[in-house]
Amino acid sequence: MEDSHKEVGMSRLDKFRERVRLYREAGIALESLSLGCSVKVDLYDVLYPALELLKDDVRRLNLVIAPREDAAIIRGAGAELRRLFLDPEEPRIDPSFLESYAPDLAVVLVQLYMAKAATPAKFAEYAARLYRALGSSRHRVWLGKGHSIVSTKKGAEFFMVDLLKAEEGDGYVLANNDTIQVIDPSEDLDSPLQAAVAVNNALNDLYVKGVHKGVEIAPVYDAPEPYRPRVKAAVESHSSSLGRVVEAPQPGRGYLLLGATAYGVLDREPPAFYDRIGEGFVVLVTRPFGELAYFTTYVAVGTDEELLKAFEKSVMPIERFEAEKRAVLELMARPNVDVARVIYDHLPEYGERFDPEAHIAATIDVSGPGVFVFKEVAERAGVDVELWDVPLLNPAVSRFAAANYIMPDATAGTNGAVAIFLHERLADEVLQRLSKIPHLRPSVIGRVVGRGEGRLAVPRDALAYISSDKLREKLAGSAPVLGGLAAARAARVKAYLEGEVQGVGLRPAARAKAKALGIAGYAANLPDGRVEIVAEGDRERLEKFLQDLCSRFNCRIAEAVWEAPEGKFSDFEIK
Amino acid sequence: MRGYVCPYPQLATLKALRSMEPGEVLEVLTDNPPSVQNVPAIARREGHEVLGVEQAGENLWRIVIRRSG
Repeated sequence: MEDSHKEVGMSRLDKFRERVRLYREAGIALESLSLGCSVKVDLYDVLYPALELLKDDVRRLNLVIAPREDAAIIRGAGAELRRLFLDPEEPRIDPSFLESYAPDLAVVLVQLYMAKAATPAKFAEYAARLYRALGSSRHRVWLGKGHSIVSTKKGAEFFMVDLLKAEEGDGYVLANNDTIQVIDPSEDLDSPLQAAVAVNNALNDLYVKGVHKGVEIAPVYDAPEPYRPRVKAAVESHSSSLGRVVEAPQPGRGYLLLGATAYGVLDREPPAFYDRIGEGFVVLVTRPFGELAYFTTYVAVGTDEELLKAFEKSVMPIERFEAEKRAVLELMARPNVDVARVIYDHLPEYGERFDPEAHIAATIDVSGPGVFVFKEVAERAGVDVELWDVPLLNPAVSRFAAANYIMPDATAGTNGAVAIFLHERLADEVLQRLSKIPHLRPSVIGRVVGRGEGRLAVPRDALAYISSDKLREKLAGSAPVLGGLAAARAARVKAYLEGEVQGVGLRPAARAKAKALGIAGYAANLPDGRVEIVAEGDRERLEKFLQDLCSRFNCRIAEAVWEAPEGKFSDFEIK
Repeated sequence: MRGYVCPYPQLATLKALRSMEPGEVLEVLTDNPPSVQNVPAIARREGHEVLGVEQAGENLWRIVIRRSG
């Protein structure tokens, strides 16, 4: 059995190697394509410091950098798009064109050779050139959320500028570009599934803000010449199922790219009520995340037999992994438009004020930064957040990816899970609406502790998903919060107590003790003479709770199963 | 490791170190800027000694690591 296992693993590996050859023949070295590991210019080490360096430059230009949000937001009832391509070495836009076209927003896609995005100073040099090209006319340009990709190929560079001009009217137009190189290298270059994931990825930043009407999509695609028509067909076909496809010029550099600039209309107030978030608010996610751990780990074990053996031994057989990976890709290929509708239904009418009992305060796409997106919201809102659960699609895969340095942050996701910050009194209703959507597994995973400096406390075991010391520090920095909070390591336990446990007042005593320790759940007499206790709360306190009970009633813990908390108990009941 | 991006440089480095005798020295050349930080950090965390990190040309870095004993 053991041997046949190995053989299957090896033949799969051969298949993967053949795939690597196929991509190479198409001019794409898979080992030089990023699968989320460094797909974007590093946000924390490069992009944000670079923007900091450029503050003075921007002040001198006729350019406004819009506040950092998932999608750029402008006022209007619709928009039209014009796309330009610029040379990063010498980007130029005719000022008279900007003045006559007078765009309301510029959305930028940058593809830059990796050495030029190595340090903040170097990246800032190129960003400054783009800013000067955009900000040197008499028309003030608003620069929305840009997207940057590093490439290993020098000739594949470009600045793509999508200019949006809003139509007058009540409401907002939200716009976003997201573009990827490859998600799953075991898929064909023109795989409809991969194209769907890429286009969904661009749309997700709109869906996350509740946008689902008047959606227009200007695809971005590139591939070596012979593959280009089929890649175009795959991207356009999925785009047309989600909105109106807008014709726009393409990079044409022969380097694989899949994505889109998407924009749509929101006739309600967008969920950006950060200053209203405080105590009493909870954090909800629509489903578990950590998608990228599957694909990055798959490529890593496909190129290293020793790693494959270790993976099969400690996580799962490769054939099961391939099946799970495929299911994850299919999950990612499902657009989040139903989630957008639920969010939309919980937004204030246009011009109306925010009501914490009726409206969602903030939303964010759980994307590349994984668990760190919760920190982004915490910082923006000036609150401290604690999570008692970091729900991943497969924690063992993410742990393996981090332990073997396959990913710096194995909680990284893409296109799928949405995090929602809302008042606890609204959570049940939103949870119910979301649970009706197939393939979602919505749950409340944490809460806002109160006003603060944007600290994020996570359960200690979640640190095993992060291999980068630098990233760990960002969470370890929250250690004081972690130490001071009872629920920071919340758990659920299902325990069976044996001995003289029925008719001795154990259950009322358990209830009193649970109340004192902040534990919720129930205690029930079982027909076989045992007492069943299901309880949620801080793990250490739960342990103490069970031990204290048994030492007082001279009983034995026959069985204790630890699980992730579900957060459904509000009291401790006697059954 | 030229032309390779994260995570391949760190994976290949660990693989190479595993195949070496204690005390032997490995030289890694990379043109992937994040690897210039990642590779030494990971080598250190695995207990190996990083003897040096230096620029070896335009857009090229050399990382020298001694395998732990």
